[in-house]
Formats: sequence, C-alpha cells, structure tokens
Amino acid sequence: MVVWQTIWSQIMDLTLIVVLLRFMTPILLTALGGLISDIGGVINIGLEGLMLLSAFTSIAVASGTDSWLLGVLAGVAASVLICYGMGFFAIRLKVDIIIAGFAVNIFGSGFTIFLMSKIYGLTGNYNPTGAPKIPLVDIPFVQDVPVLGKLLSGHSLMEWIAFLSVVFCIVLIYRTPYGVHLRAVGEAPQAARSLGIPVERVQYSALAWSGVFAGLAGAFLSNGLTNMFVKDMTAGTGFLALAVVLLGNRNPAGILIGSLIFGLASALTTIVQTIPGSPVPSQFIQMIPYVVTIAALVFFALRKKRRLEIAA
Amino acid sequence: MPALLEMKSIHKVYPNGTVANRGVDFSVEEGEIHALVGENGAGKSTLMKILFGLEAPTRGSISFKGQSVSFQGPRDAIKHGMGMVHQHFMLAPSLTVSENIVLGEEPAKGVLSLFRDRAKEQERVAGLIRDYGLKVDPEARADTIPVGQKQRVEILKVLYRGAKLIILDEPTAVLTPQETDELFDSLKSLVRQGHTIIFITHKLREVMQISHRVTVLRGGQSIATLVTKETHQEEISRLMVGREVLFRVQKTPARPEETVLSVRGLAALDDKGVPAIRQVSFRVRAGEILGIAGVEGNGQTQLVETITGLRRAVSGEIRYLDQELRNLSVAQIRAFQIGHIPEDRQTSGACLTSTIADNLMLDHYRNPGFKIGPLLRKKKIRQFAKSAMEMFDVRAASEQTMAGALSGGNLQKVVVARELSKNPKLLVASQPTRGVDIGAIEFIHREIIKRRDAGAAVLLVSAELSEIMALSDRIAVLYNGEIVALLDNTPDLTEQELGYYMLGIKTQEVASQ
Repeated sequence: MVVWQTIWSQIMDLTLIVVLLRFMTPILLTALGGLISDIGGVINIGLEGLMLLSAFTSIAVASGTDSWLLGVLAGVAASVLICYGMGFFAIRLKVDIIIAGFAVNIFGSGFTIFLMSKIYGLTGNYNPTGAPKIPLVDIPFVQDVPVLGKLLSGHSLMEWIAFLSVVFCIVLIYRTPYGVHLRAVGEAPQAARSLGIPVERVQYSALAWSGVFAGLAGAFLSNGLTNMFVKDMTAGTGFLALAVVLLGNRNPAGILIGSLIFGLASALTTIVQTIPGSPVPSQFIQMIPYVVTIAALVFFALRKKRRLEIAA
Repeated sequence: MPALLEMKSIHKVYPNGTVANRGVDFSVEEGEIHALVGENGAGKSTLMKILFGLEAPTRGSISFKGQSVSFQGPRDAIKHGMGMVHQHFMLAPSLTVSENIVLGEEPAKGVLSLFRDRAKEQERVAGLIRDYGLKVDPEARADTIPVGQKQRVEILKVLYRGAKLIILDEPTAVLTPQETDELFDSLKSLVRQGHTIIFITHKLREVMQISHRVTVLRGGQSIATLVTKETHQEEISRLMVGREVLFRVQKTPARPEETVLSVRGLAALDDKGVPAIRQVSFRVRAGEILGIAGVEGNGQTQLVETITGLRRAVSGEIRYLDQELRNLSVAQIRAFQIGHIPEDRQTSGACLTSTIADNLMLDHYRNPGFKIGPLLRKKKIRQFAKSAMEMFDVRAASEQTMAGALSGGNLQKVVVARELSKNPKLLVASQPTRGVDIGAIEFIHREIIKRRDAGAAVLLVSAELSEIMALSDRIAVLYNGEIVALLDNTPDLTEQELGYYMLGIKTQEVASQ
C-alpha cells in the first residue's frame, strides 16, 4: 500500500509529471530521428550506439572546454559524423542498412569504453567534477505560481527542445518540399529518381537528421539528466525509441504519444524504486518499461488485426 | 517542315559487347502520334533510354526542335520539353495525386523558398486537370485510385513539367478496353493541343487505331517507317518478326470430356488478410480451355495460388479428378499430373542463378529415372535438357547457360517446357505469354492448344484479353474476387462485352454448377 500512496502523492504534487518529462525527452528526441530515417527508407537502428557516442563526446568536451553548449554541439557532430559513415556503407556500398545499424550499436558501446579507458584511464564511469550542465529554464513570475510554476518552469532546456522538435518535424515532413521528397524517396525511390530528385543525397540527409536527434538525446543523458558518463548508460533507450518509431504510425504526433507512454513507464520505475522499504522486489520494477513495450506491441498488433477484419 | 525529333544512325554497344542498336533512324514530326513497335530485344527501350539521356549512344546524332542535343539525364530531357510515362507506374503510394504531380518541382514560398505553397499547387493541378480533361481527384492518395487514373496522373506529371513530346511505354498493358478507349481519347486531345506523342507498343491493333505513322524495329535496326493508313497489321507484323505470322490461333472446336478440376465455393485471403476470392465455383473438363479474364488484382493471383497449393483456402473445395487438393502441400499436388506456369517467371517460375538444365529438372528430380540411389544422373539430365530445349525452341548457348541470361521469351519457354514435359492432365497457366515477343507467343499458344487436343484440361489466366479470347473455349470473368460471368467463347462475344463484366458494370447470374 505504501507504493500506491507514494505514487498518488507524487501525482498530486506533480513530481511524476516532472520526472516523466525528464525521462521521455531522450526517447522522444531519438524516436524523431528514427522516424525521419524510416520515412526516408533508411531506418537507422544504430540509435543506441549514436546516443552513447554523443553522450561521451558531449561530457568530455563540456568538461574540457567548460561549456555545455560546445559539449552538446560536439556530441551532435560526432553522432552526425557516424551517420555519414553509415550512409557511406549503406547507400554507397549497398551494405544492408540493418547490419550497418547493428555495427554502429556495437561500435558505440565498445568505442566509448575504449576512449574512457585511453583518455581517462577509467573503466566503469567518468565523473568529472564541475562539468557544466545543460541549463534549466526558470521562467520569471511563472515559477512562483503554485501549480503552473512546477509544470512549466525549471525544466532543462533540452526538454523544451524536444517538444519544439515535434513541431519542427511536423513542419519539415508535411510543409516543405524536402519533406515530400523524403517521403517519395522512402516509398518509391525509382519514381523519385525519374523526376530528378537526388535519392542518395536525400537518404544521406535522412540519416544525418537521425544523427542530430540521437546526438541531442545522448548529450542530454550525460549532460542534463546526469552529469557523468557511465558505460552503456543508454540501457536500451535507443531500442525503446526504435519501438516508438514502429508504433508511432509514421507521424510525429504518434511518436509523441508513444514517447509519453514509455516515459511514463520509466518514470514509474524510478519512483517506485526510490520508495524506502518497498515490498516489491526491484527486479520486478525494472521490468516495467520492457513489459510496457511488449504490451504496446501486442496492443497495436491486435488493433491492426481488428482493422483488417473490419475491412474484410 | 523539319522534323521535331530526328535520331540519326544511332548505334549502341554495351560494355559487355551486346549490340542493342545498330544504325537506327527515327524521326517524329510535330503533332503526330508515332507508334514504335518491335519484338522484345529489338532495341526499343535502348533507343528511348538514349533519347531520354539515360544511356549515351556509342554513335549517332539526335536533334530536337532543329537543335543538336545530347541529354545528360532525365532532368535534362525534361527541361527540353520531353516527358516519359513509364510502363510501371512511378507513383509514391502514400502521397496525394497532387503531391505526386508536382513532386520534385513543388511551388514554394517563404524564406529561401523553404515551404510548400499549397494554394498555388492546388491551383496549378486543378488548371491542368481542367485544360486536358484528365479527370482525377487531386486530393486522393495515389494508392487508392484505379489503374486508369494512375496513368492519368503519370500523364499529368509530364504535362506539369511542360512536356511537348510525350513518350508512352506500353501504356495499355494494364488497362481494360474501356480504359484504353478513354486513354486514346485523351491522347487525341493532347495532339489537338499541340503535343506530340511517341507510343511504344506491341499491340498492332492499337497501332492501327491511334497512330499516324509507325516505325518498326527489328534486331536493333529500324526496318521501316510507314504511314499507318497505307499499311495493315499483317505487313507490320511481317516486318517485326521477319516472316509471316499467323494472327488467329488455329484451333478446332473443343471436345470436352470428364471434369478434371472442379472448384466449389472457394474463398481465400490475400497477403494483407483481406478476402481476395470469395465463393468461386467453376469446373474445367478434359479437352477444354477455361479462360479467366479480369483486370489484374481482382483475385486471379490468389485463385491460382490456392489451386496450386501456394496459398491456404479459407473455405470451399478443390477437386482434381477424385482427389481433394485443398490444403495439400505443393509437393503433394505436384506429384499429380498437374502443371503450373506461374505468372512471374522471374520470381516464381525459374531460378535465375541456376542453369537451364537445373531449371528444367526442378519438377523431375524425384523421378527415379534421373537418379541412382540418392545421387542425380547428370548425363541423363543433360540429355533430357537438350531434347526439351530442342522441342520447345529454347535458344541458348547450351543447357548449362544460366537461366538469368536468357531473354524473357526464352526463359518463359524453359518454364513452359518444364511444366509440359510432365504431360499434365491439368495445366494451370497464368499469364503464359506476358512480356514475350510475338514469335514466342505464337509458339506457346500452339503448345497449349496441342495439350488441350491431347485431352488435358487447361485453366488459363491472363490479363491480355486478346489472349483469353484467342485460346479459351469458355471464359469466366473475375471481378473483385467473384466470378461475375461464365460465357461460351462464341464468335459474337466482343471485347466490349467482356470489358463491362471486368469493370463490374454488368453481372451475370452465374448458375452454380
């Protein structure tokens, strides 16, 4: 009963929402990146690896230069660079895009551990003192209003960027010629080519976008959510994001809803875990995001099946 | 008056040594519909690729509107006012009709022209539709409109780009007779409005119906350019093939005997789980050919797959003589005297990376005559392959040639040879002559009729109405997964009549047999 009481009280004092926003940010950003690559017909499953690379680069540069902004930019740059490499293999050399993505995942995990050991001589985690974090946005006056203050003020800048990215993606995909080209290239590359659309270049750019968003998410992990790099600290976030891409019905609004569900699962996990003397074994709690993944997949599969049966 | 387009002594030798064009002269005058005909491999597509800048000619010159040109790619050709409507539609399925039309050249607005100008897009597309009378809903998703309209979208695409010279590559292959008539009306109206049309086809009836002049290619050379009014089908076909071709397939009236295949109340789903055929019933008797007519995508594929065991039936029965076939495996069904010519020789008819001999053996390797214990008798197989190739006129270097290296017609003959060499009592032939040249069509048709006369039951599925009408003794029309008509193929049955059933405009009360 302690568990329910704690959850309820956290819902009431809005802590749950604050935690939810924090946890959904990396999922949302990464999933938006995955979405763009998927629409362009080059689905990037290397998101997990990209996040790790960006997370490490970002905190290393931030602590070295004493600037969070340079850190984030460096993280994004590293991630985009790897995406161009992926594009070289997948688009130019025609390596299967899934295999290229796998390679990036393995590379991201291994290479960050390697760098941590070579540069800092550390094996488990890199925890610089005084590395600047992505700032929190305190909104004057609003922060003093009781409920609104907690809802709107004091969030990390990256959380705002994540929400703005949803709007950005909607505009990009539906309101620009580039977005139409992207969709055409993903669905009917021959058609696009016959009209003089540079298919390869569009696909490179789709991968680069996935790099940008996974890079932002990775930087947030090490420079916002925490203030350190831990080996394999993404712990499957990239794959959760990939699940969101598949469930999100190929549009940014769907991605937002999917990210909310997964963010909520992660937030609940954390809240329940931190309850002192919780009667629920921690292993069970840690299952929540994955159980939600399976439940969501089953739910969507059933819904799709039902729709087909209605059509029939 | 100088010609609008003049291609002079075009030669094309591919790096692998294949000579596709050897001195083609092709000239098109402004405001005409010019038909370009020739068998597969005659060099039509190469010529058009060269014209469109997709391939560079080895030798020869092109002049367009009086200027010497050499296009670097489709974009270049489009800029000069040429447009190509491809045989396989090039539409992005989830985009709207309007988005497809302007794709690549969207009207833009805002900072750096970064944003789409939807108002202008709507206005321009509506204007095009109005000016050319090509009716289609601009806001519909491209995958929801019928084939005839998809083609209109393709034509609108090239018109949007300001094409004066429009190349249509076998545009009627997927259309019903009614849709073909509508297309021809549109083409005539395009010509009236000052456009010029190159019409690639191998259907001579259409050449006669629509074109002003016709150029015949054979073996990479331009054989003749004729004024359509002053020639006739027989002359064109003789020029195409290089010998006399029998137009009407010679066949005697059928003498049907016992029922070989009887299908009752058959229903099956397509790959998406949507019912593709429902309550289909018919029978095929020994010594007759039952043709299944219909616009492609109305359940023909699923019907054939269900009968041959490639797809599970939801309900109904499939009887072969006294044997229930439903839910038997493909191997079990193949063990009977049942032959199946699949609709797509590239993916399911043949293994392109195997030799001709291996392909011919695919259905026979269990046959004890070709084995010693578990091992295959290579020599026997080679002999068998050689004689089959001779019998079915497969032209290739040897029986060890890779199937993938064969032309469409020769590969199809390999498939036909394999299926007929088991002496089928029931032959299921799906699109048996799709994309093969006139000579091979004539040959395959003769073979099918030979089997019928020898007492086989033949189920013929074809999107080519003329083929159905030429071969069938009875015709069933499949519309939306149901048989809407079952007719005797009498001389007074017209394509128009069948077309009405194919489009679902007419339905006949089909008495269940």
